[in-house]
Amino acid sequence: MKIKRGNKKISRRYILCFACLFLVSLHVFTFVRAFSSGATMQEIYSKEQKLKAENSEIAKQLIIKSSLSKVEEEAPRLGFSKPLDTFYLEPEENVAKIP
Amino acid sequence: MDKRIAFVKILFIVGFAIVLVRLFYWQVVKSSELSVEARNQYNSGNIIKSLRGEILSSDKSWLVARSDVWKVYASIPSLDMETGKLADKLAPYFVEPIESEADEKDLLNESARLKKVLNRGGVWVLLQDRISDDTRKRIEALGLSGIEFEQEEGRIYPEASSAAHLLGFLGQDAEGNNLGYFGLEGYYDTSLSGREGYSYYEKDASGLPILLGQNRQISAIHGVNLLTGIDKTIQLRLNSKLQDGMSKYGAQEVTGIILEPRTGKILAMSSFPSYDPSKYYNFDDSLFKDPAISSSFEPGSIFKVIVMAAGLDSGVIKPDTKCDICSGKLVIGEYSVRTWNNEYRPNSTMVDVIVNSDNVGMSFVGRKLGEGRLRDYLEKFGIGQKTGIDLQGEMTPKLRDKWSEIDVATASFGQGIAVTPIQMINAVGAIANNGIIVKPHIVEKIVGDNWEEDVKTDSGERVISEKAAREVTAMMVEAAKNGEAKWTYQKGLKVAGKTGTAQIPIEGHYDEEKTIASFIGFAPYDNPRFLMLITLKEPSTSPWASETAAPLWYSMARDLYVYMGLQPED
Repeated sequence: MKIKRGNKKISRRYILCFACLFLVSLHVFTFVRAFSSGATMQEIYSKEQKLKAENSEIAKQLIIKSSLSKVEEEAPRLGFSKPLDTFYLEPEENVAKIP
Repeated sequence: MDKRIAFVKILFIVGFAIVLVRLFYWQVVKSSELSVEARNQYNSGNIIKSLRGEILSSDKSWLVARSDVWKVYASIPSLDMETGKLADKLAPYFVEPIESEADEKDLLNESARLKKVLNRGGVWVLLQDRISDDTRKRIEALGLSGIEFEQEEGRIYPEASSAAHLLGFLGQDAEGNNLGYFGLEGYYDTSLSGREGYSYYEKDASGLPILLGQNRQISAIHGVNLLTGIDKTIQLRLNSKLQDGMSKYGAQEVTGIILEPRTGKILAMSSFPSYDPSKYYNFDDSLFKDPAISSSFEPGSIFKVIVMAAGLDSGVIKPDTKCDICSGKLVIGEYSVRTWNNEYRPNSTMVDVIVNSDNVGMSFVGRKLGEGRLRDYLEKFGIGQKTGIDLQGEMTPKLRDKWSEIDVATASFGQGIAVTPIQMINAVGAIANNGIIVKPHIVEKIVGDNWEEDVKTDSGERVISEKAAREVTAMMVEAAKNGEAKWTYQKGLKVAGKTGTAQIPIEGHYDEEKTIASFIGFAPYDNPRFLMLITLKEPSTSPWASETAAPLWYSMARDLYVYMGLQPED
């Protein structure tokens, strides 16, 4: 019985040590990973900047190409022409309907 | 032996003292300096730039949009090319396009400037700023060593230089920071600019950010967008009409303003000669001033409707009051007041006085009003005060303090008194708006990231009675139909208008040949949708407004009728 009790004590101590060791290793591991993720962050930041630049360029193209002056220039090529005359429609006169 | 031990002891004590002193030096004396150095090694901070707001037209399309432009620097120690050669290589990118001989001269000048800048010495030299992204890419493709770029904020004007005066431009202050000048860019500079933010983080030995380090960020507050009441179609049409009119009538300067009389909303506003706001630095400073809000002129006969409205409202005259001094020229002291064509109509009614643009008849109204009452009414109409339009650079000529009899007479027909075009259209706006004057404005809404706010509009102030406004309107309708500009009158357009041909004062007298020709009017007169002022400075084909400003006004009014879907009268 005594020996068994001693074994239990030893195994508990081992378990505690292993747990501590595991937690310390985990802490060190995550800490190192987190610290080294700066490069990834930098890469993501660069990609974000690149996308922003592309977005800005596309927006610029959209703004320039959708300007009224540009549309006016393009209109004749697309087959649009300025109206030569304006016709006004008068509202229909009210007349008594034949039953 | 004891001596040796004592010596060693002393040696240890002295050594310890030296270490202690040195530690004190590093830890206490040099503490703050070293802390800063250490912080600089592992801390990093960046300014987060705020994006400048955009300016939108009434249909929410862009009048001004933000864009990225670039500064070009040379790192002198890194250059691997002779400076003269480098200058010749870069100059064509800074002078584009090269189409004429003048451009080639500009190219040589630019090359010489670059050589001078590169040879001035220093480490970093600014070669050019505000180059486009496209130009940057083409320079980068040259693979020049020591040429670097820095991004900065610029502006795109999709409708080119249309409304340049109205918009203003984005320049730089003495410290190189962006600053809006003139027009909307100047007036709303603080709101458009926003506020810069700041980000702070810890970095490792290779300069990369540490995820678990101390990070702090103060977000930037971006500038707001301005939603204006400017109708792009009307603005572009007005631009084109004014440019055509300027060349057709050989005028030195031309200005057009179109507004909605009920609200004071400016629909379009333009002046020529103008400038390109994206290349403002290539233009003379004198072109930046907006003539519509900052150039004063003697309005001439268009001013008669204001004085007539004052006379009718005060009750000193009625539309059928007969002028008992209209049978000939009016002599006041050493001065004579004549009609524009030297024709005199005895017993003209007040309607006739406006229709025939009779200076003597208006002097009669001026006399009836008297100096005090005339001055009070002019002040109520906003003459001599800024209108408060939301544009930078508005100015106002002051009303004179002392009025003699001749001053009252000449002011009654619009000479000897100065106004700006915006003051003039604002005053006539009160007639079109049943006697209520409203503040003219450009911006309708301020739009933020997830919010928008209406700009409070002026509810207006009554200047004259509804009855007086109706009576003057009827006179203006008659003037449009049967006045000097009757040949240009467009049947069916329901116009209430008045021509004005004013002489230009030069060194104490009036120039015999040079005039300012104007036409002001609104339509349809029974429910005005637009009020428009056109002025031409020194037209050379004819000095008369009836032959220059009036046809230009009607040409624009015809287009407005179609665009606004207004039905002409039979």
